[in-house]
Amino acid sequence: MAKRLQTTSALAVVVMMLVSACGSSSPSPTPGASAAPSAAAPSAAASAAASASAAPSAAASAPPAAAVPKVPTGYTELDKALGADLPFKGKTVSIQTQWIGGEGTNFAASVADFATATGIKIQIDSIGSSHETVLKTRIEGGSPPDLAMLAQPTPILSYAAKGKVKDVATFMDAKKLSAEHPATIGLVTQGAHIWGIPYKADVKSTIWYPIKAFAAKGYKVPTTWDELIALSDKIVADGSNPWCVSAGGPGDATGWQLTDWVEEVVLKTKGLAYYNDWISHKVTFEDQGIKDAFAKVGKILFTPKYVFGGNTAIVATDMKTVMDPMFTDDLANPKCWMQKIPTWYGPDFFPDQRVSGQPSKYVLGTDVGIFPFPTIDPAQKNVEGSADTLMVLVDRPEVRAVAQFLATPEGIQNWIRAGSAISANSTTPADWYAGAYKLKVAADIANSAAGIGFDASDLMPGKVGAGTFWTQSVQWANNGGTNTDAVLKAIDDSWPAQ
Amino acid sequence: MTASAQPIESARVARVAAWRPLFVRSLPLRLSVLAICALWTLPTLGLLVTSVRNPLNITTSGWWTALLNPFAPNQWTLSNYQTVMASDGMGNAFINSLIVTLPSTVIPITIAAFAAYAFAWVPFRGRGILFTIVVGLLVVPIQMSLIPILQIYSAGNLYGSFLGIWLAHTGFGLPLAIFLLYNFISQLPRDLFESAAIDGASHLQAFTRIVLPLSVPALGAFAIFQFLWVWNDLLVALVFLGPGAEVRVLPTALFQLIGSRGGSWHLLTAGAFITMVVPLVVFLLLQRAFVRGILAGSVKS
Amino acid sequence: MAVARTENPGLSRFVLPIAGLIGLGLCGAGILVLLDRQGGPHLLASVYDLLGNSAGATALRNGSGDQVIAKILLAAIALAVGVGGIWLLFIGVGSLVSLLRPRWRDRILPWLFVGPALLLLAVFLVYPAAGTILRSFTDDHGQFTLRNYAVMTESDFTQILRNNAFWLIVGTGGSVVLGLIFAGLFDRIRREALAKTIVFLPLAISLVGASVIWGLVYAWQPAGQPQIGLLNAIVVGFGGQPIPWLTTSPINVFAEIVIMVWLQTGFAMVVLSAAIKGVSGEIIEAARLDGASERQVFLRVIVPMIRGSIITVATTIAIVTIKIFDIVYVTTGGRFNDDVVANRMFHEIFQFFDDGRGAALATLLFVAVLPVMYINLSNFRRQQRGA
Repeated sequence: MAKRLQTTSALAVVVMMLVSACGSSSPSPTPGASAAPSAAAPSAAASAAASASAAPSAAASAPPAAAVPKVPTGYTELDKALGADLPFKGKTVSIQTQWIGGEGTNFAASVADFATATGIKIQIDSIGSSHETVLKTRIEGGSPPDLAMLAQPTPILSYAAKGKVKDVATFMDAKKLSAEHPATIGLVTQGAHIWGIPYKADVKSTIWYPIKAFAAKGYKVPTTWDELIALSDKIVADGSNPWCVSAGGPGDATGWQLTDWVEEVVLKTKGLAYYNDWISHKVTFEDQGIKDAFAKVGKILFTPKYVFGGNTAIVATDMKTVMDPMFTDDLANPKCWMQKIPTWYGPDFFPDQRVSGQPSKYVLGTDVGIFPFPTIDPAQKNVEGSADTLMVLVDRPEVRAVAQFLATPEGIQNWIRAGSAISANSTTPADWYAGAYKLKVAADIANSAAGIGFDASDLMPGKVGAGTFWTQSVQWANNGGTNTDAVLKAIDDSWPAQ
Repeated sequence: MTASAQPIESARVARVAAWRPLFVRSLPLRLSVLAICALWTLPTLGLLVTSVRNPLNITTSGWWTALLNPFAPNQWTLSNYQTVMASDGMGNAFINSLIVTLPSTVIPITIAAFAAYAFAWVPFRGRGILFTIVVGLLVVPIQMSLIPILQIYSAGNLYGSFLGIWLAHTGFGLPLAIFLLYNFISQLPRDLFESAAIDGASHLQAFTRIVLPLSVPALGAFAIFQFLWVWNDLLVALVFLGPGAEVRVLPTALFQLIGSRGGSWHLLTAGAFITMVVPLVVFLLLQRAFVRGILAGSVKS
Repeated sequence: MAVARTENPGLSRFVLPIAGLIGLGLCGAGILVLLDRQGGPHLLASVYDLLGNSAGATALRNGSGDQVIAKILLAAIALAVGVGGIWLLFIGVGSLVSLLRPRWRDRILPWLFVGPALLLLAVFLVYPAAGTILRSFTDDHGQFTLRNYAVMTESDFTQILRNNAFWLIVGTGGSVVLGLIFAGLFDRIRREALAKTIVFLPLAISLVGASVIWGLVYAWQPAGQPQIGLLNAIVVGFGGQPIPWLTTSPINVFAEIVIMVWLQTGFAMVVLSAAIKGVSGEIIEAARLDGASERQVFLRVIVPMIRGSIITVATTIAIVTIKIFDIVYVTTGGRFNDDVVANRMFHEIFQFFDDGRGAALATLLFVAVLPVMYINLSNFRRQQRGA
């Protein structure tokens, strides 16, 4: 555990590297005018099912070179796979992911060129919300997929402890891997063992808003907490509700958005060291700093008229539809003005594209914008991030090759081209991100941060991080924040004994 | 549906006829039946209406508003169904569902009918205890069985095979099947078996000639439940067949189409209705079996 | 089935078992085809080879060509093997056993009848259940411990038990009573099949479908917004404030129970209706001639006569409610003071990775069902005595 925490702070330095080039080339953090209508088009294929085959859907829109790394790649099996004799032609590699819909299409496109180039058949098992359940059953039942993606490092280490995960350091250059994934590799590293390959990164410190409506009302994007509160008050005074908040959902995932809120505020008030101590429970939930963070979040969530529909809406509204009130009269008369949600959010969640599957008419950067979560303590300019990590569960040469491919920037290139993903590999060329509004904002945010904290609930023990922290936050919201002390005590009480 | 009401056997006609004199007094009965049916249909009606509504309206207004303004422009659409039907591999998934469901229904019924007959009418040592254990197994949560069974399958190369999922559905369905069929078979009149024994019939013959024909309603009832359970099952199919395109069944395909984050009600509703069609046909077909079974029952008494 | 009625017993004595064995052999071959992941295409390719269509065969082996025909062929084999094989097994082996001397036959036959069921149950349910109980008493290193049962000391556990009690009493009672009433009412109308179909309809709906259906009933929108949930539209129509049905405790527990009653009443109705039809018309007629009112006929004559079926249905539904999981899981995840044992068990195992606690909760479910089993056992004994 301690090992992991140290690396979390290293995370700070490094996720930024992956986007730094992009950020430095665009000094103005003000979103808006310049961005091309880039992001909308690619995820448009959303309506297509998360089909199990790697459909070459990107090929039509992507005249640029196939997303395949150049030999030598630095990885043995990968070089072999790309060799002229195509030694792995006809072999099948299965990979289980949680991505379906637009994300599923994008991931399929990410591996399609490689599948064509090597003749390896890449079978994508997209499971959606039952991903973790089915994965655990398959792993412990002895019929695992060859590869699997997971968003949380905690279960990866848990599988590793049971000997179910292959140590990628045994067949990949550990130094190269660590150097290229400096921010995230530490989360799955134990001594000389590396239990996973970070694949896709997301920035969580983002607030989505209607650009033109802001301009029409003369609202300015807030950069400090006080400005944020002032803006919220102003919107209330103008007769509207500033915030759309959903605790998450539907069903089983309810709660994660609230923990993101708290984590964000902890990072921005107490700093990274405190944050990491909190993850390891050296700082308890009943600590004053955490209490203060809950109070600050409560200010947003529970101030009358701040949240559209009040605190009942927070727990009763589906995450998929929570921002719909913003789109009233084509974004001209938003019923709510801001939503804090990570960078994986996008046009495929906007009301029109969500139901039609056709590209949204609302353009990112023109109609809908993203601004960084405002600074609270100027000394604590940290942001929150998350990452999806690849586990190798079956060791065969062709599986190694695919895993190594996904470790390279090319492994996610077509998803980046779709304007919707950030590679966890820091050697990803900065110009790949050029033109994609969302990715530019993400880069700017990461670039301006002093440190990046990984999603705390994903690092806490499952009992807390996927359990009481979620459920108690929901209870807290459901009660309008009146039971903070009881909630914090309940979370502390649930922390597993060592 | 009216067609299925037509072949009313004489026994039933007599029963209903007995109520004729009460026609006026039966008005409250008719009204309450009507109310029950309305109440029970209402939620499903919402599903049906939603599935043919313009998806843009689904999250902004109640489904009944569509019924109140049926001629509003862009109110109705079949595009939800088109999207679901046109998606990759639906036809394949449909065939797979049939391959999985039919044996998974017939096998447990057969095995359970033999077992229930033995528990009810064939004396052997320990049958009371064994029967109690079988009933007790009703409570085993399926989630606890998944991993141990998959371990066996992995060793025996049954993962992802149809044989594996038939056996799994059979195993999970057996306790309820034996329990329900026992309840029915054990209540058949004793004289039937005694006279059969006098005629020199073996247990096998008694089973095939007496028990099976008389148990048609119970067999039909359980067939429906097992069929519905297997047809709509997602978890067992995901675990033992896997999500691969070759073997995936209808619920898996729909689940993958609908998505978790980008998912929407318009596809869910259309998909739910598409999956309902086959079970409904099965139910209507087996309704006739119920009626025939009634005839058999009246003969026995 | 019909074969048992063959006219010539002397011949059939030997023909049947032999035919059965040949059939079993064919089934074995069919199973081999089914176990091959590419069995359908490969088999069809072989057929094409025999017919001289080598191009078609090659295409099939390469994963193209007449894949649909191959799939349908596979489906046909699957049905023949799955459905026919199991009958062959019983009839064929049963006929073989019938050839034995009566003494041996009578000893072996019961076990032939219950054997396949017991074998499958042992593998699919007893073995995992035993493993679960053992696991509940061990820690991650295989040492004996009782600490997994500390899950029962958690602060919200009494609430979980309370919710399970609601489910057991209200859910079971509601389904059985309504099912009985509906079966009794529908028995007396002409369009019985239609009415039964309507009440039965929910059982044909998948869980995902049911969650959407009830989403459309319970949906909540802030006051002042158009309500898309039926219930809140009614509430608002009468001038009330919209109620968040699924997030307000304890209303949400009952809102979820309503879903289950809606689903399970059809089951109770179908089974009880079949039982009511077994009650002889003469008895009812006699009671009626004695001047009994319709209600009295139903309550005093019909209900006592189908007591066994009522117990069966009540037991089945009670067990469903004791291990209720999916409805809670898809509606709220049990996060609004509406958690139940099986949902917590699922979370312990798959979210918290605490298999020991999950096993402890599963064991608790076994224990909770013991009283239900006792009722059934005494019912069983009574029937055995009476029989």
